[in-house]
Amino acid sequence: MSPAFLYLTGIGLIPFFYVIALSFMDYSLAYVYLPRVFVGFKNFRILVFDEFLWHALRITFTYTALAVGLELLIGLILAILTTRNIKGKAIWRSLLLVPMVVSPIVVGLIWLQMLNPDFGVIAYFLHELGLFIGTGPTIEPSTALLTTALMDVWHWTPFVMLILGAGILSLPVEPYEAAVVDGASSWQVFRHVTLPLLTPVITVVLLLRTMDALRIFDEVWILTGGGPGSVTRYSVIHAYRISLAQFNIGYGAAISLFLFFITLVLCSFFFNLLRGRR
Amino acid sequence: MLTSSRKSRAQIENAVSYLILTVATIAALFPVVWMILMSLKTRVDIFTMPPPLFFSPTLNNYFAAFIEKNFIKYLINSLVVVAGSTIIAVSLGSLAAYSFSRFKMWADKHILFDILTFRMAPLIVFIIPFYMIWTNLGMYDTHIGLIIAHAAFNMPLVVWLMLSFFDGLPRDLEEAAMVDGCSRLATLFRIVLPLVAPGLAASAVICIIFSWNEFFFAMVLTSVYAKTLPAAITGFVTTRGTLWGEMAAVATVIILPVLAFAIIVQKYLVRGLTFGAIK
Repeated sequence: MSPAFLYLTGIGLIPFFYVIALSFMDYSLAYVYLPRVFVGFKNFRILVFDEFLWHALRITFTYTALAVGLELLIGLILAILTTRNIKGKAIWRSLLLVPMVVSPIVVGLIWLQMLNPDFGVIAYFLHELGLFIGTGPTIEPSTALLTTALMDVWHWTPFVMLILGAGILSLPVEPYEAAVVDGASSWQVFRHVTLPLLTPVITVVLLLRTMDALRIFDEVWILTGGGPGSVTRYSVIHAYRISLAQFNIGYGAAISLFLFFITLVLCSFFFNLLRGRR
Repeated sequence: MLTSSRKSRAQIENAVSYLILTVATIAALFPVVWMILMSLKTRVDIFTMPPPLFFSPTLNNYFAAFIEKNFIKYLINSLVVVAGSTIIAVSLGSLAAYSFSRFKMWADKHILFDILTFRMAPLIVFIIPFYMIWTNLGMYDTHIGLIIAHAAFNMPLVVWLMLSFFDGLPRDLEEAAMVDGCSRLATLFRIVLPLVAPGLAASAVICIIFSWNEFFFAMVLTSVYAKTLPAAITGFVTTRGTLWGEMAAVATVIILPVLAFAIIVQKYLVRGLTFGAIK
């Protein structure tokens, strides 16, 4: 216990307290010769009235709701199909899992190439189908958010499918036998047997995916960089730009702490779930 | 009459399932296959629209990226960081999990929660202080700096995953060994660890995958010397245009080993990715 404890205290706790200290300072790496000044809650006061931050949070929640919602829906369908009596179950499942293990940065790069309006294959087929998305799906403000969400759906639906599939396979058999005896249709079996029994597993997936989507960075960073304008400037991209691109470390620290506390709430739900299982 | 209509209904259901699965599989695989094919194309073939169905494959992109642009260096950096961080995370993490599982400790509930939040927090909250501390300590752009960061990020997952393995192991076994004169440490190494070997392997593979794929830490904490593949690959995207073929070659090298690993540990992937919540 103690080596890991020391390690995580040193590597986790010290930086964490350091970031808290930074959030109370006026400190910019762009002016390193100026002294760090303790400014109390100034950064947090700015934060409350920062239009850009609230915009970033709004679009991050939209993105999360859209992506995670679709992932749960498609993932559940695929989980049910791959646990039914079909041929080559293991092969279907292995093939469908592929996107999940692709490095996020590579996901961003693949989609950047495929969506390129001049020579991207998706852009080309959309064009052939008569769908003209202005200058391109990632450049047009009206479709950029949706495009990043769909990229997330491609990347993480396999994760949802995998976990829900394992959940379905671990369900007891008796309720299903009873339902068949009572002559229930497949939909009724799903609605009144599978879904209620699967709720704990769905909750786990929902929490994990939500916490992950709220901190999205890599894929979107390379695909749109937060643009066009600030349409896909999600909260972590916003915090990154403030702190390590504009070098306003003090305010960036305050924003990142604020984002951390949002995750903390969700994480405490997840923690209680984990403890319940022990 | 009734049975035949039920039979045809089942047939339709079957056909629809296969149709949905086929469409989903094509959608899942197409981008990856597309990129692998792109890594084998010449510059002209990459920019031809509609995409040519047949083209003469070439390994020039791999040569250009790994030999001429010296990406072999970044590949070695990646391997060093993955090996170092995985060894630290798995050894320290599993020892911690064992003590959490076997001893009642002061505030262990809070410590476990803190460990979990460390893993789920937006990385930016740690990247800012890491960047500041690393630059002050001279650890910016070193292997050890990135290894420490990755190990810290992966250790919580090891702790929680191994906790679920240790909790599932009956205590009687250890007690019997200790009655027979085995010390606590000898019991751990001779009896307990061999029994949770699948768990250790699964934790190690998941740590390897995360560290190998990780981009945010690598981008901020390294610049020239210790850059890993995911951080280096973005260098192909420039304002003057992108070297797509070479990018695809490097991307293929990033993807393929992970794919193999994931297939090996598929059985434990669920348990690992849910921190042991679902077995």
